Amino acid sequence: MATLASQQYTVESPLEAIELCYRMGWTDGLPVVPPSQQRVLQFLEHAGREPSQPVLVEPVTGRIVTVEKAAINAVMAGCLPEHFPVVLAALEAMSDPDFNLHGATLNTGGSAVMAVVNGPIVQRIGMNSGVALFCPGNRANATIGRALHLVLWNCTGNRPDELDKTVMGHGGRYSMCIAEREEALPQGWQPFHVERGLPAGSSAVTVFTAAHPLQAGYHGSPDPKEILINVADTMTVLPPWNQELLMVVSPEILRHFDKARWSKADVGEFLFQEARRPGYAVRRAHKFRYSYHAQAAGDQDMLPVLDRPEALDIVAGGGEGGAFVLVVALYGNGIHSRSITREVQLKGTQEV
Amino acid sequence: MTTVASPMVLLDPTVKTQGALVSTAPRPRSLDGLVVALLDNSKRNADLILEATYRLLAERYALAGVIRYAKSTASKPFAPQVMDDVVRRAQVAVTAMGD
Repeated sequence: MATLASQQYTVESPLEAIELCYRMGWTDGLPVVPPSQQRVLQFLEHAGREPSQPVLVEPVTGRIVTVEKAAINAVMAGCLPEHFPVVLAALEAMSDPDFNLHGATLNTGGSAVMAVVNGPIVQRIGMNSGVALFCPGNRANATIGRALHLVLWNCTGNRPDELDKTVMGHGGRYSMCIAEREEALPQGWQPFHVERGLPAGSSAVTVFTAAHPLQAGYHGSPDPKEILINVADTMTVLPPWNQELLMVVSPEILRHFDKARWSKADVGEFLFQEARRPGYAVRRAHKFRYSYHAQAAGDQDMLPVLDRPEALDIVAGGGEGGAFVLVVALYGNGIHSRSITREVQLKGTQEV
Repeated sequence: MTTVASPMVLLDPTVKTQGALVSTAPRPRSLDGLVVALLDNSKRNADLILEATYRLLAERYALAGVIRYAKSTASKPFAPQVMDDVVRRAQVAVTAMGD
């Protein structure tokens, strides 16, 4: 049996266990599944990983999140053992220096960690990629996303009584995890993780620092241009030159793209050209804040929301009934933090 | 129906910072003959605070020099090589975060 390093607490009943978690300040405000040693060992066994192995290092405080701590928090979030490899891959992705864990999770703006899952594991663990995509109801979506935030809460100081300085924040900080609806992708479009260089048929998770989402949509025309003009208009509340911006696109719109034979690159190019505001409006609204070439912008220049067409990440997802997109702005307009993709390692597959 | 509760062992999910986060270097008695590093965190107005501070220091002490650094983004720490450079070239550092 694996040797565990965490301090132990003995309780007499499940209710006492839940209340102990509250008293110790271990919960996000909602009840947790008590992290019993027996349950944590099941998770470790399922993942086939050494409990002492680091999966996430907080770069400023030097705190190390081990596989064991990740498992304890995943249990508390309500995960099943088969969800745990996704949690581990997401935490490993969050360790990438380009994700900028410290700045991205400990700031005044209050971004959440949003996870997008791809590949066969989506079906295997029953994730939701469809109707009510960002809503409650699916255990895998809800608990994987919650596990990531409980790790931040309990391990890296992302809580108001430690290092969190968020002024407002949003509900995604409880949980913000979806699966890509790969079957809705137009002909010739690749799943998100495959675009990132992973093999087709692999499973992966991508983490984003989701500042806030903006919904847009137009049901009145099948013409991609008409739909995207509406989207572009919504996007223009954002500062110019986003280095990265995520857009989750519903199946109805994807069908219109498919019929019109639009590629992902076509969508990025159109929004790059269309989503623009004049320099004077951006300057007047003080939205140059994070923009690295603000000095050169003339008042009459039309400044693009996207730094370049490729700055747009497109993920398929959502319910059937409606031509909607969700535009998700990233922390610091994609300048301070970049999304990171990691393959989900399943037990026994590391050697293959 | 009654059930007999059996003790349950729970595991602590938290990670604490080990040891002190920072320790302060010995304070110099005077800045005469020392090189001052100005570390700008790149937030708005940080440079103004630093320059004003530097002007006061230069009036009061016979500084041997000044070196200036600015972070590429306020959200990330200085690169380790920058901090090595500061340690090698300066004896005193002043940092500022504006907004």
